[in-house]
Amino acid sequence: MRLRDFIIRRILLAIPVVFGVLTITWFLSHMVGDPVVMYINTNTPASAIPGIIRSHGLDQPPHIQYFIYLNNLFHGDWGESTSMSFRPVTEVIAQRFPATIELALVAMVFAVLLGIPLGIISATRKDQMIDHFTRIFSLAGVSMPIFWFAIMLKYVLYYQLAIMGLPHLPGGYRYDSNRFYWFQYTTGFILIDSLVYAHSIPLFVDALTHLVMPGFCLGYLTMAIITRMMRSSMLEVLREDYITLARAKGLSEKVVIYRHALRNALIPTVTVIGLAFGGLMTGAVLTETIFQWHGLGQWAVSAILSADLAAINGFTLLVALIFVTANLIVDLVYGTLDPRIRFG
Amino acid sequence: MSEMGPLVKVRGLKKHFPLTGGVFRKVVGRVHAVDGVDLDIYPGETLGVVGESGCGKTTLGRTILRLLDPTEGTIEFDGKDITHLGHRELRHIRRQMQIVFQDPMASLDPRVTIKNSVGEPLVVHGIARGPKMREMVLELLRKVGLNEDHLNRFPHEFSGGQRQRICIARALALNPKFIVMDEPTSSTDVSVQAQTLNLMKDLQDELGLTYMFISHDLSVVKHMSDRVAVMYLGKIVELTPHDIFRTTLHPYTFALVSAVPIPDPRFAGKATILKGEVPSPVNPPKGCRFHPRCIFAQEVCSEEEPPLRDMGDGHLVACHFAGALDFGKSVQQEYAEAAENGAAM
Amino acid sequence: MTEEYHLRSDEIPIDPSTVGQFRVLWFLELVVSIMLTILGGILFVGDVTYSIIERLGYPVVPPDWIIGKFAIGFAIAVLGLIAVRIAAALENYEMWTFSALLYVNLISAGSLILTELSTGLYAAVFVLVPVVLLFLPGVKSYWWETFVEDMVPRLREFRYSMHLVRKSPLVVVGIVIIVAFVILALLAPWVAPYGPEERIWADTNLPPGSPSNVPGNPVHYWGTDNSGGDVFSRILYGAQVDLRVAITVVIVAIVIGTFLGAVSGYYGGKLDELLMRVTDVFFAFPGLILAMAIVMALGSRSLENISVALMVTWWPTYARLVRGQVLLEREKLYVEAARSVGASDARILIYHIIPNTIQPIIVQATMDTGAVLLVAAGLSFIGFGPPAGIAEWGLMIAKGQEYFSISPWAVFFPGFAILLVSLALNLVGDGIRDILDPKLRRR
Repeated sequence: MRLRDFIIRRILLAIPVVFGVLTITWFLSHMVGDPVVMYINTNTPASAIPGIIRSHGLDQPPHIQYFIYLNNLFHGDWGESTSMSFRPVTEVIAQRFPATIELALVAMVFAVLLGIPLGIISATRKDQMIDHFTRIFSLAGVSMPIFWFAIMLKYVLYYQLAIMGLPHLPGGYRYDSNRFYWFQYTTGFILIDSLVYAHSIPLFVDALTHLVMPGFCLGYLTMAIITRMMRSSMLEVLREDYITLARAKGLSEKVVIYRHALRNALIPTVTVIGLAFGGLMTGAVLTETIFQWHGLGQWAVSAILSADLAAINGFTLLVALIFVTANLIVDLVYGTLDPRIRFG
Repeated sequence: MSEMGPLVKVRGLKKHFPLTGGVFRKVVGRVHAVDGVDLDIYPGETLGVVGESGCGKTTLGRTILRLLDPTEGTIEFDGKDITHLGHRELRHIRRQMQIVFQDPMASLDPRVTIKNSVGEPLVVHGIARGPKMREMVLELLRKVGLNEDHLNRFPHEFSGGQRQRICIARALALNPKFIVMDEPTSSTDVSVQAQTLNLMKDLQDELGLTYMFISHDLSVVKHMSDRVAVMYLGKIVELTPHDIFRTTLHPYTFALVSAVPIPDPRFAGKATILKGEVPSPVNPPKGCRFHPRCIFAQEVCSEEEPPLRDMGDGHLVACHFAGALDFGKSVQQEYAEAAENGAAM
Repeated sequence: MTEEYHLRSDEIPIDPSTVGQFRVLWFLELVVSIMLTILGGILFVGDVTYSIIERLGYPVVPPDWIIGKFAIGFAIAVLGLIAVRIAAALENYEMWTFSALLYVNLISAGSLILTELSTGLYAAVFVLVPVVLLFLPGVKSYWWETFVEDMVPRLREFRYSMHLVRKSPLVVVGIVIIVAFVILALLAPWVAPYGPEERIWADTNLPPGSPSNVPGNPVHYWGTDNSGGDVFSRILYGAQVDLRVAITVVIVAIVIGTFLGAVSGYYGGKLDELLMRVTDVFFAFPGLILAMAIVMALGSRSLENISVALMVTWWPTYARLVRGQVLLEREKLYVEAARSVGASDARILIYHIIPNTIQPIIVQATMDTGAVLLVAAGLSFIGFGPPAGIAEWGLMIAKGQEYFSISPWAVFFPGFAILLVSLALNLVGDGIRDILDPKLRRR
């Protein structure tokens, strides 16, 4: 199968998945509560409700309602978020999305910068002290209750240091709004806004310090996964004949590992990185709650707890779409990276 | 032997595997693994099947046993058409025909003890279970030279040769008439190979078995077989009751024979090596399948497909010029003659 | 077909003096099987029906004993149906029934005890009666010898595995931690100094190791929380709750996933295509978020609903895993060998393929138990779990967090417990992956 066919096939396969996702969210929203709630607020007069029901087709049989739901989605009408003072869901997403993405990217940077070297070190010094240490460290990352880890980090790096009067990391929010009261978001990415639009280095530094703890906390799991993947794929590659050959040729260990082995060992790791991005969205739900991070995750939790249907639907759908896209990209990247893949 | 009717009678047998491709996994081509084979196997004989890898000999064996469903053609076993038998009847007929696979390690379930592996056919067909099954399995194991200690071990605790004997014991469990030996010795070393081959011969004499012996090793096939069929690209090109090293009528067989190495330095470099690659079985050449590699090929060879002709005394050849070609003496023949004259070594 | 065979189908010789004992065994097993099926059916159908009626908005109050029993009820009903098959085969003195009866009845007894109903306990004792009858001299002669002979090689392999386990310290550490937690959880009522929901209002926010302000009360080893709950005791009781959720979720996910994955992998075709698309959809949802939505859809926030939500989100993992393994095994030569001797599809699948796919499932299950524990605790941390006051690790952290500047130990210990158990499970899973790998075993 050629690459072009593979890509087309992969995209075609993503379509039923997206429809499955839409269907499941529709079902869930109908189970969680009355969908009318998505379209009314406290200011809606009771007399207007039958009209709203009719205009949104909620008096129709279920299959018609399903099509109306799909139609609304495609026309950008995702309902109104009751927990966010009845603002349209799409607007809330647009506003909060950058915060989550910024956090996820920082977490990913942590994970990749630490995970790949640790994996290489662990594999090249297999069964030595440092390998045991790295393995336990990464297994702990996989086993870590992220919400607890966040609280403990906050307790030590923020609370205890602050009590002792030492310099400490901020314990929540995206920036210090008392100091930078004048700041307004433009793109929503604070690291970009502070430099490009606000021209304020102190704000940039402040935002960066705010990112450290939640970023590390969120990135730890991903880092652990990357380390483990890197270690095992590196070990596998090091067993290959061409590595033995490279060593036999008299190449230095450094050249063998970084020129020959690393390139091939990175391929599975890259795909794991792509897939882990979806996992970061899950982790964001817990991390954002603890660090008062005004992103999608925090919104999702408050939405679910207050039965904010439109928000739940919108969030679930969005994350699922990100997941599907990430998987698709990973598959395509994998296909182009690994010449051995035959697109079965 | 031919006074009795054939035990296995194959007519026009074809087995094609579809190749898929494109966005919707459409069938874009077919591998002609077995492409029109006629074959009779008589009771009590060993029919050897040789050919290069990929010529369809393994597929032929499996299709005859209905482990693969044939695309076309008929298979008769013991006078009964088994080409379209359903599951139930097939199960019944399988008591009479068995197979020994090439890789004995892979053909034994790693998590099942030898007793239960060899006894499985007995249990499946409701012949024996429990202590009775154990007794019968033990008898079978003794027949292939193993003993009671081996009953409750796992496959990984045995050597390659032992495993192959276990597989033979399993094939014998149902007391079949016909066994397909699919390269049974290709994964064992030479000393073990001889042992296994002799065991098979002894068992054949003792139990009156009929073998179809598939191998790519000409000397092994010669040692084992009463008749030898040579396959090329899914077809039988020659079927001979004679010594394949001495009388060959098909240029392909001659080329095969000539390629067998000789353990004598004086003959070094004399072996004729066949030119070119085996053509793809997806698009086999028109006319005689061997013509692109044949040194004797003429125009007719690329147009007309030669039928399998009887050259007298049951020697069948599919070549337009069978009997009319002068191959000269093969190195093997020279070597054999030299050996007979006492001049070798 | 006209040929004579020296092997002939023959019946197992039946000793007339044992027929009486056999009849008793057969009759009892029949009763047991019907009892299991009905009991499991009531629990399963009852729980499901009540939930549906509740969802439809009718005010019903299901009896306490039936709430959340659908999974175990389903398991018992399935075991009952298997037992019916066994009882039927027993009538014909079929060989496999004896060991099958032994296993199925033991598992059934265990499941009945897990229902935590007094009826379940009586039923469990009753289910064990046929097992005892198996050892009557007249019955034993039929199966014991073969059974023992088949056990010997398995025990030998098991002992070798144990030997490998002993050589890897990390696995030993993991096993010790898990066993310790399980034992402590089971013995919580005797080991824990305080009750799970006991509040000592005089003892709020005491640091670890403080004596109680109430004279005569035991020491608070790990301190107390803001409402005077003893952290140590609550963690022990919490272990019961959390471990049970994690284990049931994984078991149910394995059963559903293995069945669907095995069937779709073995038969392939349309069914396979459909199942893969369905799992794709499930994989498109991040686990925690789908679970949150399902808990909300189920109506009430509780541990039972967390379990259900996690079962729904987890089975595709196993369906995929098992399918992949089955696809791999299906192509192996030994499957073709089994087919060539006339084994049926069901036999090949159950007897050959599934046992060979079980190792990666065990590894995955071990690690997933840790993962489920994390997600379940996370869900109850953000408020989807049981109501405040219940001893559950995630909830304890959530409540402790509000006062964590005053009593950080009320957050530290439950979280540490989660980390420890989850880490132990991962250590074991990671370790046995290598130990069970046939490529690395002796050759």
